[in-house]
Formats: sequence, structure tokens, C-alpha cells
Amino acid sequence: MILRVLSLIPFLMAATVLLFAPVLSPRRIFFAVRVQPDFRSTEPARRALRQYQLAVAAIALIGLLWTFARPENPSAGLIPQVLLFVGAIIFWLRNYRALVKYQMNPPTVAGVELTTEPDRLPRFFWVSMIPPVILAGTALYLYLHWSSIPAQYPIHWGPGGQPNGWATRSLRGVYGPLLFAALWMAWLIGMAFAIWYGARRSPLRTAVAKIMIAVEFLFGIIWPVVSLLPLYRPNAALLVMVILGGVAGLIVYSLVTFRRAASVAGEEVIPAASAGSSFFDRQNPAILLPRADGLGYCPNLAHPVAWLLLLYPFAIVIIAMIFIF
Amino acid sequence: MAQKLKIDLSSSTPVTTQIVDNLRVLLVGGQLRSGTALPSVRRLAMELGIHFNTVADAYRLLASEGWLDLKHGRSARVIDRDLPRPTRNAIRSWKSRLKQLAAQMLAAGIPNSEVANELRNIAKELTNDS
Repeated sequence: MILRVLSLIPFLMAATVLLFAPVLSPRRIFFAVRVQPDFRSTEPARRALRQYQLAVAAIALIGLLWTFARPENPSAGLIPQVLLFVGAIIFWLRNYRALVKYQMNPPTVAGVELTTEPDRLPRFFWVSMIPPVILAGTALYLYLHWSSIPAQYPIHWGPGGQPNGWATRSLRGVYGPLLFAALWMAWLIGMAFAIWYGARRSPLRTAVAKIMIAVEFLFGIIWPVVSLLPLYRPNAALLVMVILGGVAGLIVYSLVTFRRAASVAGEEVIPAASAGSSFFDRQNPAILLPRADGLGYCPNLAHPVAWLLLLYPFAIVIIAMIFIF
Repeated sequence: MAQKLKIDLSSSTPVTTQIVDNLRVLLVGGQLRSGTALPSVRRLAMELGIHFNTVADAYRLLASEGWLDLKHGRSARVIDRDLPRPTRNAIRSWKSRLKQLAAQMLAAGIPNSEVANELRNIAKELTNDS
């Protein structure tokens, strides 16, 4: 029962984020439509928000009821999550289509300071070196306690709390999770650097780079804990709470950082050559371009580094499937 | 404080011309003095969201006018420029352009006195700072 309640936490977290997502975006963006900053107080905006939130709340309620009434089939537990995301996307798109007629044209005036000041890395970039050090420390600890690791140990548990996946004391079994985390960290650090050196200077650039490094920290906490499971079996509920707490903290931090940056970025001149969801221009030196709707960046597919950053996650998944897990 | 360069991508004036015109105002006005380094072509293109060839063309044009020194491997630098001696034809051509502009201002309803004042103020502003 406790595990079932715990399994509800990610669902409730997702439902909360989806419920408030339209009001968490910068004021000039509403359902991914660029609008006047005071548009939210108008009747069409209020109606759209009301309809969306009612729909998401109703789907979340159905999902909750399903979680308690569902049969003991692990795959059935995913139905509420899928339903929630699909429902939210459908209602989001419905509102986008209804509100797109209020869309403002993006600014066409671009401004730049004529400075030769080099792009110095901010201090928070050096902090990104801490999670790899944690991984290395964990690897060393496992090496020193190799003989204490059981020959076979559980690595995955079903909804009833019963182990359903096992690993053996081998290089792959013990260090695999750490290698997996290291590969993702390399990608996150690469993304942060690409944003810093390959996108225009703006508060949004700093915010997104910070979020990348925050995600890296989360990996630096979760994966060492997972790697130490063969040596220590902490209380499962506590472990789940710590992980979910970390994820919740990351979500809150990301939203606050992004929203703060976006509100500043809204006051400055935005380059007219901002992109949609994809962009291709050989003569544009940017690796990443600010999206026209203000929601982060999109890659310039004419830049080889952009391709590297896009394909690298797929490579990680393939490497993990073949060599790690 | 660093000077700001602005361009309007919806304008009918080509972006290269806008960059050249904006920079020339800063150069003539003395806001960009001899020895000042300008941002690299890549950086300026990235900040403005435009092609790097557009910025490179603008820099080349200003270099051909004698405002900038473009050396491979280092940023464009403002240099001392000797004023060219204007030919009679050049003066005639500029007068004609100025006349057209003044006519446009008058046609837009700006009073004669204000047109004259504006021209005088602009000339004073540009020559006082340099």
C-alpha cells in the first residue's frame, strides 16, 4: 500500500506541473503563443485557462481513482500517466489553436553592444565539475569494497516491492550505472558549453546553462546512490522519497530560474532571426538559437556541433542497451 | 560604456547598409575612437541573428572607406582616417541627396524651420563629439 501511495507522487507532481504550466511561462507567452503582457487578464485567456485546468484536473482525478482500483498488473499502472500527458497535450493544442489569432508579431529590431569583452565562463560552470568527482569517488569506494559486494544483487523492483531484475558482481554490473551517469553528464556539460559559446548573450542563456548543470547535479546524486545499493540496502520508501524530492527540487528550480530570466529577456530586444522548432542556416554561426516563442532554444542544424548534441543521447541509449544494462 | 548597434530586419534598407550607416555615425561622431576594437564578425552575427557574411561585408565596406583596419586573425580596429578632399562632383551628389531628404521631410509636413534646425543640430552633434 505504501509503495502504491509512493508511486502516486510522480503522478501528482506531473499533474501539478501540467496544471500550472500555462501560468508558469513568461507573461508574454501564453499556451506557446506570443501575446501582449496583459493578455492573461482578458476573457479569452481566462476562458482558455479555465477549460485547460478543468480538463487536466478531471484527467488527474480519473488517474487517481484508477491507481487505487487497478488490477495488480504493473503495466496497468502506466495508464494514468499516459492519459494525463496525452490529455494535457490535446487540450494545450486546442487552446493554442484558439489563441493563435491573438498572436503578436515577434520584434524585428535587434540590438547588440559593441563590446569585445570575451565570453568568460561564469563561476557556476566550475561547479559542474563536482558531480563527475562524486562519480569518481563512488567508483573508488566500490573498488575498495569490492569483496563486500554480493555475487548477485537486485537492481529492479516491481510495484509490489519484489525484486524482478538482478545484476552480478562484475565490472559491467557494478560500474555500469556510473558509466551511464558519466555519459549523460558529458552531454549536459556539453549542452551548457554549447549554449554559452554558441548562442547570443542573454539572461535566457545563463538560465538554461544553469538548469543543465542542475540536472547534472541530480544525476550526480541519484546514480551514486543507485551504485551503492549492493553495499547498503536503505529503506525503499526513504530512497524513493529522496529521489522524488530531488526531481521536485529540480523542477521548481528550473521553473523559477527560467521564469526570472524570461521576464528580463522580454524587456530586451530579441533577434528577429529566432527560430521555430528547427532551424537550418549555414551562414549563421550560432549553434543554438532562441525560439521565437521564447521557450528555450532550438538547434541550428547546419552546425555539426548541433548534430553532435542531438545524436549523442541516442548513442548513450544504444551504448547502455548493448554494454551497460 | 559600450556603444549599441541596432538593426531592423523588417526595414527595406539592406542589413549591411544599416550596419555601415550605424557604425559610420558612431565613427564620425567620435563615439568609436581610433584604436577601438569592434566585436568579431562571428560574435556580431550571432548577437544580431544574421549571416556572418553580412557583417563581414559591412566591415569590408568601412575598411574601404578607411575607417577600419582588418587584419587576419584579430578583431577589426578603428584607425585614424585622413579626410578625403571632396571633388566637385561628390559635393553635387551629396547636395542632391540632402535635397531629396529635405524634400521628403517637408512633404511629411515637417516645418521648414524645423528641417533647417535638425540639419544644423545633426551637423553640430557629429562635429562636436569628434
